[in-house]
Amino acid sequence: MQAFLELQALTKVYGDFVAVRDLSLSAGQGEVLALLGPNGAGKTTTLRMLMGLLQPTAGTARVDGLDCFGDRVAVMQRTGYLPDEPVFYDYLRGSEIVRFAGEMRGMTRAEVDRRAGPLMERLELTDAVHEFAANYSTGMKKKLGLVCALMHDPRLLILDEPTNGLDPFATRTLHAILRERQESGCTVLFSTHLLDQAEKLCTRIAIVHRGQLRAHGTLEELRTHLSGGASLEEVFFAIAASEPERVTG
Amino acid sequence: MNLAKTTRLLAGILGRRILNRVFAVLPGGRRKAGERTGTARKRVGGLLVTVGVALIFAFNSFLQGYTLLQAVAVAHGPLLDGAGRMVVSKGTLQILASIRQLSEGSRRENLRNVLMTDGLLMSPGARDIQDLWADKLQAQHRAHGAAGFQTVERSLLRPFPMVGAWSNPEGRRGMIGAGALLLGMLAVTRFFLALSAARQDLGRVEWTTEWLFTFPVPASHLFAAQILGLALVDFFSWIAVFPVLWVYFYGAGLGWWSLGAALVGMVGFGLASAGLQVGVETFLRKRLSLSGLKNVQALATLVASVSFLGLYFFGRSPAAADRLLAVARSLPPLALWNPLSCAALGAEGWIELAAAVGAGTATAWVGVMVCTRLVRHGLLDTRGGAFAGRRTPVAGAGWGVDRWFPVGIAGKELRLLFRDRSRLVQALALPVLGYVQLVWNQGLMEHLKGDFRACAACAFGMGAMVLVPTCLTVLANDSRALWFLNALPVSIHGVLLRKTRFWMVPALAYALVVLILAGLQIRHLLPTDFLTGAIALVGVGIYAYLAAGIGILRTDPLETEPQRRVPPSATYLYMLLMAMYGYSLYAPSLWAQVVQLFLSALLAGALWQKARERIPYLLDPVSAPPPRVSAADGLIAVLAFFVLQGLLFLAGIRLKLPEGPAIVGAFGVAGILVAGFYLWVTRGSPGYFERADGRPPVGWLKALGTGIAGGGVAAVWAGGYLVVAQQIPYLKGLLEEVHAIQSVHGLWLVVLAVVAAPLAEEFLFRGLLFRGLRREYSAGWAVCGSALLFAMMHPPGGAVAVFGMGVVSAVVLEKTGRLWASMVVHGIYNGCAVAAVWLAGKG
Repeated sequence: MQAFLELQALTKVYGDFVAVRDLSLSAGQGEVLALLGPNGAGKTTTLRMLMGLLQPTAGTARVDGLDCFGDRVAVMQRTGYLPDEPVFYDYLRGSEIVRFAGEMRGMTRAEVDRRAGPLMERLELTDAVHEFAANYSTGMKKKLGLVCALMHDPRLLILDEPTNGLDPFATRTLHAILRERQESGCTVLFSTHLLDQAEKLCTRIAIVHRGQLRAHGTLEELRTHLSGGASLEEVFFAIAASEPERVTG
Repeated sequence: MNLAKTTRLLAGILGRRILNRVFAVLPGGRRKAGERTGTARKRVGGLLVTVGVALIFAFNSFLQGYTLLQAVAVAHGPLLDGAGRMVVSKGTLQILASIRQLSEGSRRENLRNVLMTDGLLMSPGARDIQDLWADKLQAQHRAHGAAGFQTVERSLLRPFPMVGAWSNPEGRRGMIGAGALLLGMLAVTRFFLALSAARQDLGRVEWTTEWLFTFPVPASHLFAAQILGLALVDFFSWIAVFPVLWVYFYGAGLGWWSLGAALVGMVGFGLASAGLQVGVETFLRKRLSLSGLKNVQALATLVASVSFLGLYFFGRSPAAADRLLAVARSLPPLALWNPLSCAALGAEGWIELAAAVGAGTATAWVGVMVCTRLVRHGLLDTRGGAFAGRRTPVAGAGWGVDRWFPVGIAGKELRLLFRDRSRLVQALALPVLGYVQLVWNQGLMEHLKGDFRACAACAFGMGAMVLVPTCLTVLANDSRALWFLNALPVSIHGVLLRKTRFWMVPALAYALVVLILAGLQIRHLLPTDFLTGAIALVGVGIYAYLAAGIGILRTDPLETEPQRRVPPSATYLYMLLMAMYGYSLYAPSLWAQVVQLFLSALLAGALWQKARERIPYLLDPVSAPPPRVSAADGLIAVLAFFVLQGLLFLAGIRLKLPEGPAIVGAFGVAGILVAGFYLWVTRGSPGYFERADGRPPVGWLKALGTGIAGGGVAAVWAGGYLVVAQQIPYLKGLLEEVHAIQSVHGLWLVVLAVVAAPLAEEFLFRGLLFRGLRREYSAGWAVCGSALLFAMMHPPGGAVAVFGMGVVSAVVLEKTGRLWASMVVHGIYNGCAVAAVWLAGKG
């Protein structure tokens, strides 16, 4: 499968601290790749480099052959993004934020209404569209961010801890939406520290720890190589406890 | 946990926050190797600027207090001793005796001078006061002669003349009353400032007190600790109340004890103000929704601004001092004992001062009781939901409301503006105070009527002030949601440009209204007045870009506290530039105005070039754009070169060098220093001077040929211009002026013209400025921009010829990629000019 998303020896250094070291990964169209790791592993830094928010200290991050930092605008045309803690303009209502995002993507108001409306309904946000974003709970902000990330049918979805703050209903809905998007050819990259979520959704898993890629492959491959068929939880703990040594399925 | 421990912990947190902020910008505050940093930050300086600004404010408060209290003392009349004689210096009495024959103006002037020597005139603002003194002194001298005066040594009068006003009971009562009123006015300003938009915590969803309430500490202890903390570390108290109290107590004759008295008085004042503040804040937080709070904050911002400005103008008006004294005399003694102003009674003695602190403590205690009672059923109220007033859905419109509203950036900005009352007040309501000034301040209006240039400067100032809370914060206002904009397929640079253009419109409207209002008052407008008005309006447009450019370059989008995102230094830099432009509108020559306009436009372009480079790195805490030559480098280098050259020339003249070697030496050394500095700074950046399109330079021979040909073309252009100029009287006159000011001759002229000037000027104007412009703009714009600035740096008579040379030189650099080829052009051109001068001299 041709790589739609490609990271090559990606590195980010903050002063003396190496947040991401020599990370190489790729994902083809229609793949769901989970970036799994404990807190402070470098997941968010990696996603931010993909979003062009951070400049890699070394290495490259490419989407559809485009450099994520140098060709940010073109990359964003293909991408939908949800950060871990989305912050919006306090004095804009939910509907206005969604419309603004659509307008900035060149969509007409009718088009925004047509595409975002069903998403709002599925995520049970319709009743709150008139409220100011400052009134939203963490989960509602997350839902609003999801609508903004999904409404233009992106070819790549980058989601940072997408289910943090979502209730079980919304989590189930999100899982369903991601599966639909995957079937329609959308590549999904999400970071999580929830092992069951990675198990349920992903075609491949990349485990990062202390900024380094420690294991990469399908769930089956990881199980076989690492713990002789153990659960992902055991695989994860085994890797977290081990010395840096890359395992690739 | 007891109150003492709670206070110590809360004060400790406050102190720690301040220390962390200090150490964050010091080299010692760097992280240890390998330390985890989830909050890596680009290092932001500005500590020194902040401290400097605080000191300037404190000094200004000191001066304001001094001027006002002195004016109050003067309003009593000159100092009187027990026998009703005026207390003056011997010098003053001598002057009074010797000036009787002079005209009124000269008498005043003489008296003003001697009063200044006596230490009475500290600032131009006190000039009116001196005239009042002069009149009263003359009246006394006419009535009683020398017998009406008691002479003392000057040292007794200086530097606090108001000491004399404390010498009799009536004066003492008046001064204490005036001090109490002054403290009362400061308390009102402080109160509204504390409620204004500057107080972030009040209008925020996350109220700090909520977090503090999660600790096992009684509510009363928490409120008491908050009040104590505020009383001790309040910025306003330190920069405004303390200096005023110090000058007040010093004037009352406490000497250096006044420092201690001011400190104690400030604590008393702080306790009372903080008690009031925390009480009102808790009440508002309990009773109002967040949107209601924002409205209150907006109103408080407006009142605080009016109060602050009022205090400022009050301190500069002798007439105001008269009124203040009249009110002070009529105050019943009990009114002086209100907790906010009773620190003034401390001038009577230490017991009164201690009682003032007691009154402050009692107010703080009442504040604690009120707050504790307010939260007895819980800290939060069901009414207090964020923006609770706006939760009702808009009926009948699905979720597609406001279809008529503008789309995109303009729509967003308009919505945010009209909903965020604080922003609305800062952006659009506060400038209205300027109009109020126009209507009320007849003196200003008279000044404007007399000179249209003043109207233009006033209009520009008004428009440019609107740009401070709008364009200067163009990035800061979007900082929190920058990730959101970044996730959209739009250029952030384009978004910020659109925002800048959006905010330019109200700024232009404000300026235009001033121009129309003031212009209507002037009967005979000259054609040049219209041009000056147009330059003022164009200036507002340019300053919108300039403000936004400074804002983007200086904003720290990762700063969580909105007030700190744009450092004060950015505002002061903008205001300095603004003042320069406003001042240039007063210039009698239109040429000077146009030069300032062009320079401002060039600076705005240069800043945006830098801003454009920075924008992709805004949310990256550690990365920065690679160093490349920019137009800003060129402008800074040109400015540095001319300043250095001037200083070195003056040094040369002081060293008794002849003019020729002094000019050539200054030119050469300044050029070497500036060029050396740039080459040293860029030594680690091989791509610094790389061409915008990355083309390699042409061969040496081709470059030399192009340079020689270019020099020839430039010389022919200059020759043609000289021939034409001789036929036009105006240009001929300008040329003769150039010859008249030429002070270098002979060999020194050849060295200057053929060697020093080409080396230095080509490095500055082509090497830095043209290359910097070329990275951002097309070759045509960059060639014209650099050549125009080059021409403007020369006398008007030669500007056309020099512009042509600048164009040819820049084109040669663009074609060859070799700076020395431009130097060849310049050398040949100057060589031909020297030869022409020599031949003309022989002929």
